[in-house]
Amino acid sequence: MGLFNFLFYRRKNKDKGNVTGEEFFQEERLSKQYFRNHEQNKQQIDQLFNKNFDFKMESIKLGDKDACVCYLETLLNKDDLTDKVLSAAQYTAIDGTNRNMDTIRDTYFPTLSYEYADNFHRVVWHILNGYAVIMIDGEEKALSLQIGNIEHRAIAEPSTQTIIRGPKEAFIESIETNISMVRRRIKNPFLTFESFHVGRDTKTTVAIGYIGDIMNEDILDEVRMRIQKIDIGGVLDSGNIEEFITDKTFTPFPLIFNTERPDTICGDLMEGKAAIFVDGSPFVLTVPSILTDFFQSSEDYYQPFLMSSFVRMIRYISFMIALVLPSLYVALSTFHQELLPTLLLLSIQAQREGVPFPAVIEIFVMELTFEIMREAGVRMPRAVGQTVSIVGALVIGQAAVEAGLVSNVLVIIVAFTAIASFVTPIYNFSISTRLLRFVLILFAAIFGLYGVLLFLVAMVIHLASLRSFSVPYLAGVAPFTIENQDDIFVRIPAWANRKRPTYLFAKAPIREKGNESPSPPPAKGGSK
Amino acid sequence: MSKSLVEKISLWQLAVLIFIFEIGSVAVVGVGNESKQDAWLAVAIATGIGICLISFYMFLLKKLPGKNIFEIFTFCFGKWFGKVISFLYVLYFVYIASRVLRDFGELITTVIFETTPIEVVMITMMMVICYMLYLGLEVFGRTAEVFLPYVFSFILLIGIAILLSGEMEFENLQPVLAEGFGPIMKHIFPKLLTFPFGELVAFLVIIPAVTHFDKAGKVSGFAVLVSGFIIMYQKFIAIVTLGPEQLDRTVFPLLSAAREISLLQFIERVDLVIVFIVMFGIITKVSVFFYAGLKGLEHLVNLPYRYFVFPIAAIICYCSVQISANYAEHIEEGLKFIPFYMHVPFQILLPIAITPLLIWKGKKQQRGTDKHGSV
Repeated sequence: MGLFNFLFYRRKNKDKGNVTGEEFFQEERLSKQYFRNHEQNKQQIDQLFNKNFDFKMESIKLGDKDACVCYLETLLNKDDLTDKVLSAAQYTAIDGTNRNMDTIRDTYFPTLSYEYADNFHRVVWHILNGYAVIMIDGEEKALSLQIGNIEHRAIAEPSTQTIIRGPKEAFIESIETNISMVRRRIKNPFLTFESFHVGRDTKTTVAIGYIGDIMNEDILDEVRMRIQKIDIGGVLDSGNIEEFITDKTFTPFPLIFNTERPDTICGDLMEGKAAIFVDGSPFVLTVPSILTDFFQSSEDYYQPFLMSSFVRMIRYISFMIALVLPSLYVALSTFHQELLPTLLLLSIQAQREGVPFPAVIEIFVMELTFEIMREAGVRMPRAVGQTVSIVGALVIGQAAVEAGLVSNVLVIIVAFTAIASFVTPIYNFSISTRLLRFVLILFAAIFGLYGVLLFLVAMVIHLASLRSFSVPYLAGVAPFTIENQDDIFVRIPAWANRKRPTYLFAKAPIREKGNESPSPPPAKGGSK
Repeated sequence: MSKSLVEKISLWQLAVLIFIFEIGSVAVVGVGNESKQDAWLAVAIATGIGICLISFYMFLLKKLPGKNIFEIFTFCFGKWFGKVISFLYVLYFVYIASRVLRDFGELITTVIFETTPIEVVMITMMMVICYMLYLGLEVFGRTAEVFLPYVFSFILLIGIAILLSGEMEFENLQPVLAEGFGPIMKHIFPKLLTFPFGELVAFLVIIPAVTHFDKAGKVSGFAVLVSGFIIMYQKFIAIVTLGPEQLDRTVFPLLSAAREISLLQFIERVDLVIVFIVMFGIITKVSVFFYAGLKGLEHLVNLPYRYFVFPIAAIICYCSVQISANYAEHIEEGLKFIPFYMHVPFQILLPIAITPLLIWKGKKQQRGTDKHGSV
């Protein structure tokens, strides 16, 4: 049955293209019919909304006809409503002529953006979206007027993906504002945003943004198909739909990139990726994403290329450190002491002398403690934030060593690992290292270096098997493509980087032609 | 026959696989040590013959593009006899896979985990290989690509590190060709030719899955050449570091050579690290034979090979423990028995035997299509 549903919905959605308001309430108890009889309509709406304190239904006269304005006052600007709708409606009474819907709109509400609702579902949908819906006796459709907007948080600096040089604005919770931030940056007429409504209860607006003359059609179809397939109660953040459209859920690696930076999104769109905006979430997803995307920050392109290449290397190295350092410690100190230089070994062993635990227990407990502190630090009220850092630093750092419970070296290793795991520009990528680190420690405790390597090989095999929207997750590295090496581990100067990543199969593989080095050509002969 | 899982690897992935495959277990056990200080020369000559061999294999494959060796057998010998030959090859591949696995198990238990049972090492490693092959040939190719830089650069770095440690004695290379070419040739055929170069026969299963089949010949020839150079380089390091006498005595020559490394009073005992680098070579090598065997089974019983991954892996693990009582016996088998009774027939004689049949049948088929007109 589940399979049947899956196939059925897929087929249905494929034919449908964009989902609009009226299809939403089909499965619910609402009748669809919109009557010509004014009283029946009013009754129907009243039945649905009458328990709500913010629902208003004001009877007015438009010309010689009875009409009423329905709206949820919490969703629109009351002043605007009075100014633009109610007062304008008064003039119609004076006017007194018999008009139809279109002329009424033309004459009295010419400046307001509007939509007609010709069935009951649409009326309800418009009310829920903050329109003022005017129903007129005898008309076969209702007029929905958009009035004012609801307040949003102001655009602020990014809080999770900060940079030093570059644009400092971040997305907010309103999808319109977010899209406008992208539109302001890209003035390409092919920049398209397709909207979908996802969630049985929330009917959240989800928009796919792409540049039509760059983005590969097959990948785009796949994105559309997966978003239409989503069947979920509510979408409160882009994280909700991420799990529905990802290629594989059972993996510690994120297969979908998210960012709160408009400039990053613009860069991705121009590379030939699709961005998924979700109303109510300041985090925008981009697909397809590959592993190396998570090691890049938009600042890489604003700083000199030598520096950003170096920083990228640092990121890869710190990823490895965050992943394997604790397990290397376990492996080396329990199995392969001969790999350490004698003096270092002596110093480590001397420190470990009074420690009552084997290295693996020691490191497990410390890593666990750190994870607890980290979670506490994120979750706790700001006002008591100081406490954790003091308690953490004093108790875990110093007192534990002085009490002889753990060795100094180990504290250094745990601290260094923790710092290294914060280097990744995208927070949710560090989840992979946080989870796999513990497994690795276990492998190191059982099989030593052999176990660590075996696990790493298995991890690489797993990575090689992953795909994000049909693009191999390790694209650029495996399958190796020499053309993409200009923007993976290092970044070459922008004027030399003319190609879009080949793994995205962009329609226009060349970014721009004819760029040359800005440095002047070497002088011929001696100078005069 | 289930054709839903048609997997392709790129030319570069093929080259990487051949390269890692070739230098994989050679780095562990070492070959051509009987030729003493001329071992590198023996490897050079064997590489030349190895390239001829892979060209010959390519010649066979090109007769029936897109068909692997098992399908070629069926084409040549008919359904039933072809299946018998294919079954023999499956046995051969599985057997060699377990031998390679044993090589590595011995290495680990000798050098690192003296008290660990060899079965533990083999089973854990086999589980990783299973995982990889279960995910398919594409994943295998990509994984090999990821590890190539490490394998390659570490083998290069060993030589440089030994040189910087001042442990190389270039006099060890002399006298060159003290006993003439005769003994060298005797060592090349069949031992050095069949291992590692003749083992490329397993690629008769993989090469047909390459995207640009027409270029596969050149690429694989090139890969053999490069890996020949690397093996030569390894031999060269082992000879100049250890000297011919010690080279003959030692069980794991490259490892003994790497033990001499001592740099900055910090980088010491790197031989352990080398064991782990070699690990990926072994994984590749076992996987190639394992995959070849699995594809053979797929051809024999018309079921997707994924069904057989775990059962055959269990068999390989069991075989690799049971094939010999100890390492000395294992090596003795590998040097005295295997080359003559298994490598030569399967790598050289049988392929040569099918050549006339293949040409004759191919011509007959062509005439047939010419007569009846192509579809």
